[in-house]
Amino acid sequence: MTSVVNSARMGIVSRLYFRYRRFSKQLAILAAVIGPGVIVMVADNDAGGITTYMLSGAYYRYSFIWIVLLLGPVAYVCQEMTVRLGVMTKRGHAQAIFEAFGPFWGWFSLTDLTLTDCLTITTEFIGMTMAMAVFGVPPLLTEVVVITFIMLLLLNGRYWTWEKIVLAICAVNMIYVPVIFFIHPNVGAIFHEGVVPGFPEGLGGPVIFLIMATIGTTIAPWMIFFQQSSVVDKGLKKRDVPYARWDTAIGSTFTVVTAIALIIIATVFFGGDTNLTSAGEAASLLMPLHPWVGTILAIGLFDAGLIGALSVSLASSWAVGEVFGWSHSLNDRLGQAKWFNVFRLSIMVIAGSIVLIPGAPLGVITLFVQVIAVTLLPAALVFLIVLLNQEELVGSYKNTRAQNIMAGSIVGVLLALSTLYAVGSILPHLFGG
Amino acid sequence: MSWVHDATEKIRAINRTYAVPRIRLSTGTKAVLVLLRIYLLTLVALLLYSLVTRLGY
Repeated sequence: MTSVVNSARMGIVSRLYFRYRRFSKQLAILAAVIGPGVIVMVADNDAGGITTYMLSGAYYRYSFIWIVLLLGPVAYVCQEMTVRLGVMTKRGHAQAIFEAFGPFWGWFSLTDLTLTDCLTITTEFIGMTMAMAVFGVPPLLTEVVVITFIMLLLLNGRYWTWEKIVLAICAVNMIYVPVIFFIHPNVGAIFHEGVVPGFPEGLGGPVIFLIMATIGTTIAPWMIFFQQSSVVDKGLKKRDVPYARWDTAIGSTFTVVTAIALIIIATVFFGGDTNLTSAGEAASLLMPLHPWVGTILAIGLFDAGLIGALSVSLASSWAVGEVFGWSHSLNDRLGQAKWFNVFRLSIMVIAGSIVLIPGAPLGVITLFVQVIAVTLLPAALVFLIVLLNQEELVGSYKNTRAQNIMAGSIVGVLLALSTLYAVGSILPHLFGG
Repeated sequence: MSWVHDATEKIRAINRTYAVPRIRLSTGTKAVLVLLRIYLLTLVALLLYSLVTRLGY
């Protein structure tokens, strides 16, 4: 009898041990795979995103929280498709479009991407220079130091080193989250105004504009190109897909949590202030009254701009490098991937120069870039959906009907919103604006 | 201006490499894709118009 009990105990212990070993092994694999998803998702809370969330909180209090909650899964659906496509084709998104649809659509997509990326990097430099201006650093110095740092990151010539450094920079993006525990927001109002869908002031032109900017900062064409190229450069394989999905899901959770924290901070300090124009201005205004919040806002804004500039410049450089046949891996040293790096440096210098134009309306430019990005997004998504429906390309990883319905619905909603906003800008009286 | 010549040659080479698409689109699908692009670019033009008028230029 005793031996039976002992053997049963041994069975439980060995099963628990086996489960523990299996779990730790899975965690180790996840730790190795984690990177492209988290980086792309955190980078979408870039400098433009920080400004967008701050303004939505300042103008409409907590009422954008439910939109951000919806956008987390939407971003996951879009980005998860790029993982499967990258793993199965071993091609970056630009090259996949050229191969699948031919040069006409390829050049179209590449031009769209390069132009919107250049504009997006401009918004990153706007954010970084505004953030450092809070500490008295001149814009030119900020730009020179940032561009030098970004280029030096490639000196090592190893994707893994680059990724770990960028993940550390991504962790700083969560700096806003602890702040909400010290500023005592009205929790009841957060749930009442934020979680229940609706707009207290109605769905007017300015609200649609800010909704589009919020969508534009959560999902953008550059993200599709970035994650697919990143998955390929990292060398992820079919067996890594489940872990890469977790990577993307963890990243989208970070994005949503940070965005909600920002909306709460903006509501607490600026709720109802429709004169606020940017996150940089918000940081400057907070410095004399709440120096620690102002400092955290400025540090977070700089960090967001840095992650954005790092990632967005890579997205287009990877894409152009793939198509032109240049050496374009982060595993190549700076000199080996000469044209890839020259291109990346050039778009950062061009974007940085725009910011230095005296009197440029930087806050308005930031919001418009997000809106332009979201307007062009449906075209990129349509190609992604078509590619994910080709069994000869992605085999068993092709989209299911449910995935097609979800992705198709996202395209439909984006088109409807873009149309609403465009009509509203020609006929403002339609929305009472 | 040899770099212009080199760049043109490179673009021609890329066009030749990808001349035969792997996915055959029907004429209808092609037309829809072209219309979608034109539509989206029109929307972007309207957005830019809206930006310019907002800034008062």
